[in-house]
Amino acid sequence: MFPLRSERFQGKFNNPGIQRGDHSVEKEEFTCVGHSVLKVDALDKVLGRAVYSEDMTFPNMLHGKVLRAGVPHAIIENIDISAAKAMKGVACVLTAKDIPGENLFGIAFQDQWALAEEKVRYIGEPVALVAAKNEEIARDAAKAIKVTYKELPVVTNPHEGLGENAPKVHEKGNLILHSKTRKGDVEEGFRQAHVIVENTYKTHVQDHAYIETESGVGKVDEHGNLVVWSANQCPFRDRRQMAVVLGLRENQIRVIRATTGGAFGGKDDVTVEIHIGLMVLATERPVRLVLDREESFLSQTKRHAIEMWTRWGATREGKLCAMEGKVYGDTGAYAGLGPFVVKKCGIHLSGPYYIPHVKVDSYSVYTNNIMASAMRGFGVLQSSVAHNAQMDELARRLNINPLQFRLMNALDRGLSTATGQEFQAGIGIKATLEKLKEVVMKDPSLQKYWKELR
Amino acid sequence: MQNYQFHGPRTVGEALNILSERGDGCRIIAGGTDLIPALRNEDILPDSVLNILEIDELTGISEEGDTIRIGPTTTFTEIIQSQVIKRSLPLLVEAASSVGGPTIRNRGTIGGNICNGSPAADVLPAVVALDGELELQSKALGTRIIPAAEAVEAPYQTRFNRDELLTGILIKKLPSETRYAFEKLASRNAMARAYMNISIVLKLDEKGAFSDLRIVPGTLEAVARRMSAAEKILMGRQPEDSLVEEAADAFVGDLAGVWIPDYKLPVARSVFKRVLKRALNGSGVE
Amino acid sequence: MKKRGLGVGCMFYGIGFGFSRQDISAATIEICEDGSVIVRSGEVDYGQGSDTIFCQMVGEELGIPYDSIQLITADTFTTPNAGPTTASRVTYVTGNAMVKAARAVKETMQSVAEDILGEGDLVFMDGEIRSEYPDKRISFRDLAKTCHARGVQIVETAWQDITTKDVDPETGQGDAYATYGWASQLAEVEVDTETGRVEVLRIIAAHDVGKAINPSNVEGQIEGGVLQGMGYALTEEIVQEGGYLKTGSLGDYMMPTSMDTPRIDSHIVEVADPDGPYGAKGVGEPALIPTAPAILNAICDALDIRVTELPANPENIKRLILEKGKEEEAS
Repeated sequence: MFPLRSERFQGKFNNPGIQRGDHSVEKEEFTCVGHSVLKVDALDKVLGRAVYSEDMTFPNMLHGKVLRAGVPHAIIENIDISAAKAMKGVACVLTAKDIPGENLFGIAFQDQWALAEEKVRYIGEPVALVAAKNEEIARDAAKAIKVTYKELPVVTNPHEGLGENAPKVHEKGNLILHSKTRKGDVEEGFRQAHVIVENTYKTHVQDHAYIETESGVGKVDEHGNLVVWSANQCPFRDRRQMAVVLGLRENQIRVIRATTGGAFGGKDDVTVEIHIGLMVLATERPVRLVLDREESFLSQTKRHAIEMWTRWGATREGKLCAMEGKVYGDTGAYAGLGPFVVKKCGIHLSGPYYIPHVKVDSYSVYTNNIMASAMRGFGVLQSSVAHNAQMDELARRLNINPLQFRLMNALDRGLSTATGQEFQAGIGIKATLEKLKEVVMKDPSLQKYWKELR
Repeated sequence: MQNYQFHGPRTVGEALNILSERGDGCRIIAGGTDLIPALRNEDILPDSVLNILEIDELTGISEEGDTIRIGPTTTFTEIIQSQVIKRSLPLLVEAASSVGGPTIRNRGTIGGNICNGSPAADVLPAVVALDGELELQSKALGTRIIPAAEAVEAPYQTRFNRDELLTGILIKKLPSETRYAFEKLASRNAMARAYMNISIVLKLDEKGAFSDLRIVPGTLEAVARRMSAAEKILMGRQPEDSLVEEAADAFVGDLAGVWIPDYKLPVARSVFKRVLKRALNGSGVE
Repeated sequence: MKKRGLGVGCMFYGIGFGFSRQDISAATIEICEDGSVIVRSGEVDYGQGSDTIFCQMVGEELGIPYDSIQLITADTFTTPNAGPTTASRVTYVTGNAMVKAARAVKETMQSVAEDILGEGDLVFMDGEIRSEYPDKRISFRDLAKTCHARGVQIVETAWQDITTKDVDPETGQGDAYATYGWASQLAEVEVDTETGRVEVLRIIAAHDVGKAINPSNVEGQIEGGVLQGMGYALTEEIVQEGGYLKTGSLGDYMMPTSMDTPRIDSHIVEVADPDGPYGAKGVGEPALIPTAPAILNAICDALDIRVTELPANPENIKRLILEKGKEEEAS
């Protein structure tokens, strides 16, 4: 069924590929590195031969379905699985009571239940699992599970969440992490400022929307180990979290990354792996679980909505002298990697510039929204929305070209970042700005925008 | 799981028999670009589905004197590629080209676009602006013809009887020198749900005054219809700037039940003027 | 009316986890008796192209075709833990593990080759180990056979650790990240003031990747990043109200299509990182980051309107245009 590798690569050895773009550094004498060779998975992908977990099938395989909360914040009063369990073709119906290990996971902060126990904290929260002989029966059985909820007031943004009388998403409180950056003395810094720009920026939620949704398939192998093929970003982290919930040793769990159709951070947290493990262990049969697009939107992690208040000062000569910021990240119902995203946003809020005086506070906050965790850019995207706007506003008031103003303040050898870190080499910000400047200066259609650029 | 009976007749006669027997619980499927998602999401729960794609009489484009007949299962792609349509009803080509993306256009049909009754249909407003007519057949009433403008009663609800089948879309070839324009506004260039679309068909007399005019917006209101207030202001007069402004006010004033009105109303005014100007500046049908 | 503007966005991005979070990677290289090569690493390629550049790196070091290498990745039973594919760390961390493992194997093989050929100063290239004399060379295949016959160890595992020291918890001062990626982009946009629609005409991207291991792959990352960044700036938005999702399908969630793709000019800038493999740094996330701010600055250049709440979709842009009109009328 699958072609041998030798066939796959027939006649494709040392394909020099196409070479586009230009390179600022002279070519060294490499034979392979630095060449645009054909990607090793290109042929399989374009010929439709790549095997994704959804393409994998085993004899006697079951199809899984997750019942999700559907309410954003509620106490679970009762779960009645009797009707679902009685349906023909249903192999198992699982709730938190059926978890063999400890019902707790999360990459950095273990605050998440594999299946909800007493409470649900967002609409996509998993409450029960069904494995059945086909997808239709699994879906119908999941619908037949009756859950009685007592709804609770919801927290919909970080400011609400930090309020004194806010409903508590988690018992320990809604603040997940407060991170600080303190460099120099901002008050002194702002005293040197000739212009000060202060603004609040609000970013929205983005979905990873990869071409392949979260999916996987699992079974017990011939040695009695659990094997799961899934679309993931780190089989080892998944294994660590699975072991706790499934009550297995890590060396009994084999996680394999199946061909994966994009992740962008959205498959960094556990997606389907624990649920597949639970169903495989309960039924001792292979189980496949594939989320459809709507379920992916409803239940999987997103990019943080972040609100950033920030104030920047520059001297008459156009040198940045101080910046201050407060960052509020809506991490949603569970931490995932959210606290680190918000922290990274705060650390990068000062941009790739040398600023002697910096003060930033970042707050990652629980709400009843869908979890926000890793997504390509990891908080730095949001920070760059703020610092690039601030730089343009300052440049305008100082009557300096925005690109020139960035060059004047860009980090360089021996100049420290907001965390006081200095590099002696490998600092490329000026090189990239100079490249853009060169492009503009050569192109009259761009130069017309920035006649002042010299 | 949905259980329904599936019918696959080969002739209109067979289809009409099935419709007359099954009536209410039967849904007709052609390209399926609207019906399949609705079935999957269980938005509709029919007890039978009637596939009309296998009925040869229902597809294709033909000229019958000065009328063009389009079979309801003709796809958007077939309309776009048809030399007859390109020559005589170029507005329809523009409207059909704005539908979804290539995959949807290869699959979706003009009949489906009309019968689905979506307020966001791209082609139905153009058919109304072209003064199109619909041929309906049933065992009970035989054949009847109604104006396309009367097809839809309310969103996703047609005025057809439950046992009636749309068997043809009939549009008169545009007289020479008829001018037209179509514009769809959406947040991206393909596969987008539109904010609005506007179809305009017009003719000027030898003095340069409007002698014929049909203005039909889509997506703005629940049901596509001609904007008679704006048409009335323009008819018989020459398209001077002040008159166009007056008509634009009437166009917007006439709109009712618009979603996100804060955005759509001021924008609709601009788009209306733009489409009207484009139509006036166009060279028209040969 | 259509108004045009030009905007710049730039960024730096801390590569790897930083802040004393364990950031390790590993790779194992094994030479078979016939000289074919198996590389094992826990790193995940989910489409970004790391499998290809690993093969290029090992191929470069061992002087063998990159696509003759059997690469086994991301399997907890057969590959060493390489950490996750995140934080734009893969090229920088796992790439180093690859180079280290390859050099370790190469060193062993080289000493055997020196013994066989009686020459030093050998180079591994085109499937051969060559000295300066054309008659004194040995094929990679024969050398591997000899190594196996002599019982020489030609399986090597390399470990790469870029975990940084922790910063001061009260001030956040310290060496936060092992290295940074750097990038700047220009966006040229055209705004339809009547509809509020923004069309991106052109993106010019300049990315310092240290060393492009595979330039067209870098361009692929940049082009994909630009589109994702454009979607973020203009049309993509997950809307939640009271904890309920309002945009639950691809029918409501507007990502850019191929029909919305602007001209993208990618410029690869190479300021070598002293600790990166061949000087390389990551590009995965930097590819995306400058696009949205560049577009927002270009919109501001065109309209003299600063968008502070994203996305800059037609509804928001039109509202800001109308508000500005009212303000100007009032003053």
